[in-house]
Amino acid sequence: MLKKLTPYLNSLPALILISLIILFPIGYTFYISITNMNIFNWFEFNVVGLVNYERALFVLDSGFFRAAFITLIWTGLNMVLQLLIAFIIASLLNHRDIQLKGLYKTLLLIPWAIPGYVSILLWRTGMFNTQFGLLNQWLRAFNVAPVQWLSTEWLAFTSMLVVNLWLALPFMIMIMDGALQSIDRSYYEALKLDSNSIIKKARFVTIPLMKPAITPAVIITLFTTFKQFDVVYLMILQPGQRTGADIQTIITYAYENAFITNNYGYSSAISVIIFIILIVFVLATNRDLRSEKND
Amino acid sequence: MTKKQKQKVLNRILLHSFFISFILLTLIPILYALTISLSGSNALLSSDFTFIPQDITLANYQSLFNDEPLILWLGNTVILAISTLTLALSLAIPTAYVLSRLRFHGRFSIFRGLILLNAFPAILSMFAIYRLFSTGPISLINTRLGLTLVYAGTMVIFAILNLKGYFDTIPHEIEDAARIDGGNEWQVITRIVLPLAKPAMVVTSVLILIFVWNEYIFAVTFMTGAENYTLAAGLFSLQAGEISGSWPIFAAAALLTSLPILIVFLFIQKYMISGLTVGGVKG
Amino acid sequence: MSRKILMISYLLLFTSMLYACNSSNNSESEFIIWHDKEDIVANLIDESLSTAFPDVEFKLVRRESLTETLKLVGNNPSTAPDMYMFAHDKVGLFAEIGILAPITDFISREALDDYYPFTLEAATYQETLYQLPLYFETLLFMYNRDRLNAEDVPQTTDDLLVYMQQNTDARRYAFVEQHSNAYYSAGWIHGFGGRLLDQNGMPMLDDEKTIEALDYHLQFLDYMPVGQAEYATVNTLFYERQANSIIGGPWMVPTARERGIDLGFAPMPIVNETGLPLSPYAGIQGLHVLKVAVDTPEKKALIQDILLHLTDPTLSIELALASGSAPAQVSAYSDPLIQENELVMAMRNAAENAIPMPNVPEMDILWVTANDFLVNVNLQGKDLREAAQEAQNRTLELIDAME
Repeated sequence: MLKKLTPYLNSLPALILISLIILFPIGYTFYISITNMNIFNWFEFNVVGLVNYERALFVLDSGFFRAAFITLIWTGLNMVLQLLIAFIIASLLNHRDIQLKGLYKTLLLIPWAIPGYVSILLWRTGMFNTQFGLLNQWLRAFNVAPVQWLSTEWLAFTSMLVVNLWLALPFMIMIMDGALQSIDRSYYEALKLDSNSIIKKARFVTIPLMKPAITPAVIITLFTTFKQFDVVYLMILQPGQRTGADIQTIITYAYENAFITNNYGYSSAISVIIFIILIVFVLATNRDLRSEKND
Repeated sequence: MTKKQKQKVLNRILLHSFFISFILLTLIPILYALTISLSGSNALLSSDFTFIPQDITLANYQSLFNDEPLILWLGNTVILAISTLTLALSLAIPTAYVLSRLRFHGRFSIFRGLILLNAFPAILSMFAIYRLFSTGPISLINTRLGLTLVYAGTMVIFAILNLKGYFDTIPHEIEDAARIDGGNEWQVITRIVLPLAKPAMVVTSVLILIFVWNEYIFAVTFMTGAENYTLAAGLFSLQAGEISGSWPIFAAAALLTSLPILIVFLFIQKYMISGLTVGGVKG
Repeated sequence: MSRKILMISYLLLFTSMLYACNSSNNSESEFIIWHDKEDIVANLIDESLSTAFPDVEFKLVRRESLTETLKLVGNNPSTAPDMYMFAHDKVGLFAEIGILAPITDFISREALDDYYPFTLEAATYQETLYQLPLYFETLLFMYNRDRLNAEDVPQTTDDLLVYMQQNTDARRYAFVEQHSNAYYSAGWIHGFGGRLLDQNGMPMLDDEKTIEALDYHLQFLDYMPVGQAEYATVNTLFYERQANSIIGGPWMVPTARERGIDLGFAPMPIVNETGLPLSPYAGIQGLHVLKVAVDTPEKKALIQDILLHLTDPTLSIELALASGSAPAQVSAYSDPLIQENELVMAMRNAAENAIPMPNVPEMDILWVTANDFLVNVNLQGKDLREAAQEAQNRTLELIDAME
């Protein structure tokens, strides 16, 4: 009997904490979404039913679908590039002829050690600024006309992609490096008899063996990228500091169309809708989660 | 030199040149911040930027120590980081272990549920948690416990998932062997599983540490008064906006804040090597 | 299995709960004031109050994201401050939420006779005064005397355009401003007789005057940096002597002087069409009382005394001199230090035309939609009328969503 309860007892403390910090806010947000909590009923609000959802559906207009499309491309490109670059770098870090591995790894992790918003502000003003940014100073030095990095859709998207990679790669490199450590060298030795091809090695040994160890990190990063607010908002959307590029992700779009109203009932309804969309998205893209037995 | 040795030297040259150029490229914004933090004038931008400032000064760093409670912030951050780390790991390890090793009803639901819960936009969580913390019998607002619970609760999901993923890669045979030798579960976990999972333990801990180190939104909202701030919250309060704030001091603070993390990175490198090949199946 | 681990984790949970209960609840004798200002401003207020009320311990706490936090804690006696210092433009929001106590609950209208009427009007929401003003600030037309002689300063907007056409080249701008920021653009719209919001809280983005102002202003953009025209760029251009003149706030003055710029202040150019000068928004900084602070008659008396003490212009003068703004009390301007201060006097003169930022809750929405509108027109070259109509509709939709 006790043995049957063991797994539950073991996971109970963690689940209690998660319920408090993660689950409760979700439930509370759902509760607020069916109330009329706005600045006119800030502390004394009543349940009003699904009115907010009716109105929230208006936010799902063409602007929202455009934002959803951009968010998908943003997430996809980021994930592919992150996994690819991090895999290459982590593999090189684990090359048998490497020296100074610890130093290189530490230096590669530096961007991660700086709070994200500081980094974004540094990139925005220090690197991309049209008048004084380092990039344009260099271009001028080579007599090339300065570029408005953040003002057109394609350039701004690419610039933000670079910044996001810069912010996210250290984590991915670290995860990949840790996962590579989990692979027993003897697997390679067994394979070496047949082939020495790096690609084959990666395809048949490294990647399958790394997969369980990196899957959680990849899923978490997927969410983070999907929900990314700071990079897009701080780079091009700050009120009074907009650069002209017309790029919104789902979250920034919701922010600009719901949260500024100070109507928490309404914006909570939008949050719930986005939450559902996110879950659908993840279930649709992640086979591991759909199929039951993933180990 | 044999052909093999030549190959080795060539490989090293290639690796070094790759890493040096790649790292230099990624460090440009950091070097930029470093230069600003060492320069005397209050400017983020200038038309004649050079990586070596014309008038090098440590005044910005001095003023951080003299005018701002930097040491206090560091202390607060360290306490929070350690308590979050302890709480999150001690909750995550048993959960991850049973999720990885035992077959029980609801196992997959828990696993999937954990992943999906992460999808909720955090913007509104703060509001709900604030309500939760201020309505209980004891107010958790403006306490370290409150912040620790928030941080641990946020990070424990990742810790569980990440550790579970790594535990999955550890062959069961090793544990079974230990059990046959008469070890109880406690010994199996602490002496066999955790050492083998060292890289994952390190990665998870570092991630939690960095999260606590860099988080400022909860910190500035839940804590009142500069003396209760963490480094990131303090940094946020020094933020260089249009009206107030000084870019050089802000840059100096940003770099100083990240320094302890870098030292931790350097220090943990040697623990990043898995025990798998050493004490694993072969031994 | 592994009951030890279990025990340990439960134990840790409890001990960590115990250790961390270091809640620092506000003690009774403390008087807490939140603010978002520079240290010097906070210190001056602290000094003035501590000297006047030696028995009370004042604590001026700088609060990041002050307004967001107030929304959360404004009605919670154990975590809310007693007063907070902020610009007047959020009084509507907090009055509606219901956390502000009217100033006139404590002191009579007669005690406020010395104040410039517009400062009191700015802080009045639905006929109730919610802020005791200390000083105000607005944008100024500043120029570099080494580049532009006082007699050559453009008097009208047409003059300004000619001046820009003649003096802007690859290396230098004649004039710069944060042209796609609603706070700055409002000055132009006001100059054409328009408003972002009318007195009834109705957005006026598609108003003819607004459209006229933006249409006229478009020709200035050819001679200003486009793309990034936010403060970091625009202010640096002026500091680095790459821009001869600028419309900017008083906070720019210390840095400009530090860089050795011989700073001149000029009246805002007059719009030729209307004869009105460019009239930027003004912000009135002052103290707000929270309802939850008034829990005992003694506390009410204390707040009354504090507010009465602050109606005396002494502190306002010190604050104005320290922050380059203008005192809210008329009698402050007989002080010789104020009269001698070029910046403060320029500020007061500018304030005669300045228009206080609206204080209605709708303004939160306008800041976002008006900025988007400006970007669409100025940077993306969208059709002005269409963009105006679109912005107006979106604003109305969002205002509708407030309830």
